[in-house]
Amino acid sequence: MARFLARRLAQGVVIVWLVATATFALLHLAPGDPVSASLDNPLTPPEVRAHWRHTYGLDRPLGVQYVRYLAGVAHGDFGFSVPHRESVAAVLAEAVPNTLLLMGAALFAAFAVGMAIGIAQARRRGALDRGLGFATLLVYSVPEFWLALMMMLVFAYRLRLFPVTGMFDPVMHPYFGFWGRLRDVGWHLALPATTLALLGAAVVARFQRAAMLDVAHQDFIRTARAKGVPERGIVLRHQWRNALLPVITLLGLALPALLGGAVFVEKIFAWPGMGLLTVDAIGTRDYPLVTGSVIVGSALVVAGSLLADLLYAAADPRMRES
Amino acid sequence: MSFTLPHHASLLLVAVATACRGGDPRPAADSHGGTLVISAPADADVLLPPLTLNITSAEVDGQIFERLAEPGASLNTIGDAGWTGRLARGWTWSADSLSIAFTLDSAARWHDGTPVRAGDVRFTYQLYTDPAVSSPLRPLLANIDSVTTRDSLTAVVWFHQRAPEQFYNAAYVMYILPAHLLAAAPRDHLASSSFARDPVGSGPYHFVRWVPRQSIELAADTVYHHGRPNLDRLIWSIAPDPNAAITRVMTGEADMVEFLRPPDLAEITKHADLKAVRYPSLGMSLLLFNERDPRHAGKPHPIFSDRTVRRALAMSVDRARLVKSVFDTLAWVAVGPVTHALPTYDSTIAQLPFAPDSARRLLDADGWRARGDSGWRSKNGQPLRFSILVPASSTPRLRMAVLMQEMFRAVGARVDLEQTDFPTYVQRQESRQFDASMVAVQLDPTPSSIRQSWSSAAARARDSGNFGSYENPAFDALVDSAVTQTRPDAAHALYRKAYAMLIADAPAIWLFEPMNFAGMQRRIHPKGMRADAWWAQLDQWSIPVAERTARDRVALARNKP
Repeated sequence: MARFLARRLAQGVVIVWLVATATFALLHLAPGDPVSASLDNPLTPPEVRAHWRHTYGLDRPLGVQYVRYLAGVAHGDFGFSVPHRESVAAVLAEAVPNTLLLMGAALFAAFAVGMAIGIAQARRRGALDRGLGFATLLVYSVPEFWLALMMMLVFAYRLRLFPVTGMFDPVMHPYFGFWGRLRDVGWHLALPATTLALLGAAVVARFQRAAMLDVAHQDFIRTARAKGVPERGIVLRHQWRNALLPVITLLGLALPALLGGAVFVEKIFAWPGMGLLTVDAIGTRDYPLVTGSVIVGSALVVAGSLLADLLYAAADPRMRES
Repeated sequence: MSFTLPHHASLLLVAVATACRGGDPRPAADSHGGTLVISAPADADVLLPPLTLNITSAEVDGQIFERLAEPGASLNTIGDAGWTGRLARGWTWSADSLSIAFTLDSAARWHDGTPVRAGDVRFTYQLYTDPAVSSPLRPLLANIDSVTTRDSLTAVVWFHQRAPEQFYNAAYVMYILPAHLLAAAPRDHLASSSFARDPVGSGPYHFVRWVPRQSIELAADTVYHHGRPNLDRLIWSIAPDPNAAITRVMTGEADMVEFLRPPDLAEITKHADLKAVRYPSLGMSLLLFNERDPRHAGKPHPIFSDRTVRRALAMSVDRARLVKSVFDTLAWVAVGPVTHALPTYDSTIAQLPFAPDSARRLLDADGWRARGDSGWRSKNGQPLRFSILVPASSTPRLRMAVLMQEMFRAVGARVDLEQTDFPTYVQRQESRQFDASMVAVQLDPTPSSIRQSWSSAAARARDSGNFGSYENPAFDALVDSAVTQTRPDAAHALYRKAYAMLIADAPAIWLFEPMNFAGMQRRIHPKGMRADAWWAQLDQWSIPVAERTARDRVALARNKP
């Protein structure tokens, strides 16, 4: 297991380096730089632009910038964000926990709801299966931004059940106690997390249903039934556990998908996470921040993939042996 | 005029009565209180005026820090007419007009309690002009030679030469900064200093907290030297999505959004508790022609170096119809490089008429003949074909470009649209890699800034603001005369002549001047929304006691940092 982990970690480092290098190169191929995007007033004198470019090392040859950047990353220094006027590490340190909170809540809800729907569909073929199948297909087909806007329109604007945007109430939050603050964040988390969870649950449900049906007619199910195992036990202990593998694979893939999908949701609900941060950074040609975000994002993907492998091994003894 | 600020019994903090000179009298004590939540489109970048770049930062800076004096609503920049003291209690001009002595208000205090002194003014000038700081505002202080202190409350600003806008340069450009807190900060890393994230000023509101990409909160300085501000708290709450920003105002989560798009304006009118407030603007948009060939550096543009072609193209555009189509009645047709808010505005400035037939005749006479069935024109093998650079992020400009494409087609000019993302657009413009460009500008309050956009010197300077490389010595001479006039009416007349000359030369087609509308709750009573800064008198906005909500009643005392 230790050798497996070491090998996967080494692979992960190479993947992250390749992704960071490709991002660095592609960004610098695009026209513009952080200074031209920030100092966009035509009245800004050329010497001020030149000074800023010199200060942030943007006037150096690309190769030098790349080597300096990699050397910095090796020492935990991801560079300086010109538009944010802060170190990239500080900017990311604010955004990553927010994204993890949103993603964590959305992933948990998506898999819990999705698996429950998939199991229910597989068990109750007929009207329920068709109805839930139609509903999940409908949600899956809906664009994220549209669903987010509809959630906002219905639950925030019409029913006034949840706040429109933000991560907390900017007026009252500082004056709440610990539990009050927690409740405030949870209240603000509800709509963006539900939006992401609905989209995720629709996919999980379809995978779970198909996997459940795949194993429904296998010999071990028939044997268990012949042994007199109650139907509930058959479904949960035998059928569901063996139908977990495709869903675990999906979990590994869901991490990057959620990271990308969260961009629209973060923007619409003004959730200060990494997706929104990265898109804004691309818009302002904030090279260090984009590359830093990509490094963190690809590290999360590698971690998600590793987690999926470990869960695979836990769920399937054959994987442990191989 | 002096008066005493009344005491407000319900406040947990004691509002110390202060003397106040100039400006409007402070309202009765029951006008104190309330929270204004502003739905802002972007987070601040840095809260340090010499290095502030974005609008949210400017709004927050304007409450924390103070200038020596503020202009009146007319935005006069010639002499000191209409200006009122802010940090300065008064000023005197030297006999030769080469210096102005500003007397500071002895009651002015930094938010940490330290008195504001003349040394702070001298320090501020040194900071703004230090090359290591590299403030984008430094060139605007070029006429100031030095700042000295006559005594602890008198700062003397010395100028290189007499100029009508001396006072504007000294009073408007700089927000005064605390020397005792910034003197030791490394000049080349000021933007990342702790002060830039936790600033201390002398303005009507003091800094409370900044949660990055979420909110910025300020609280009233109850001992502010001009009298306690009306509102207890100001909160900028960040909502990057424009739909979400307006929805927040409609649900009451926010009190105002500073800019309404035309569809938002229609929606606002459906809500009885909301109102749209119009305020003057310095913004305008134009189609800029590049008079140099973007493909061959140093050579004239094969189409736009010809004044006749530019004039013909300008005459082929029905600007009134364009503005009506895109904005309905929510924008004006621009009359030139000036907006309604500036004192040099004149609706009678001669315009090139919309006359497509005359445009065709002009092009024919100039040798641009229509060929074949298509009707596209060419001259000596050079087709009358060009591209318009448009930032994809601007829907109004994009829609206008599409409509103009059709208008140009009607006179035989073939136009391609180039949509780019914003940084690419800026880079292409800076490097002058475009034929024509849809430009949106936010004008300076001073009309003399026209030199930076249209003078021959700016055309020849690399990386300058004259991206179209327009040159006309007669125009330069007119503007040079205008900027040296000390009588406003004489200066304005010369500026108007310069505008007319510019319009006749058609280095651009001035398209529209949008009307600015803010959306806000009816309970908010705004005051003094100036064209250069709607937030200039936020300390005098109020919320009547009877209309306050729960969040307005959060005690100010709990808000002390």
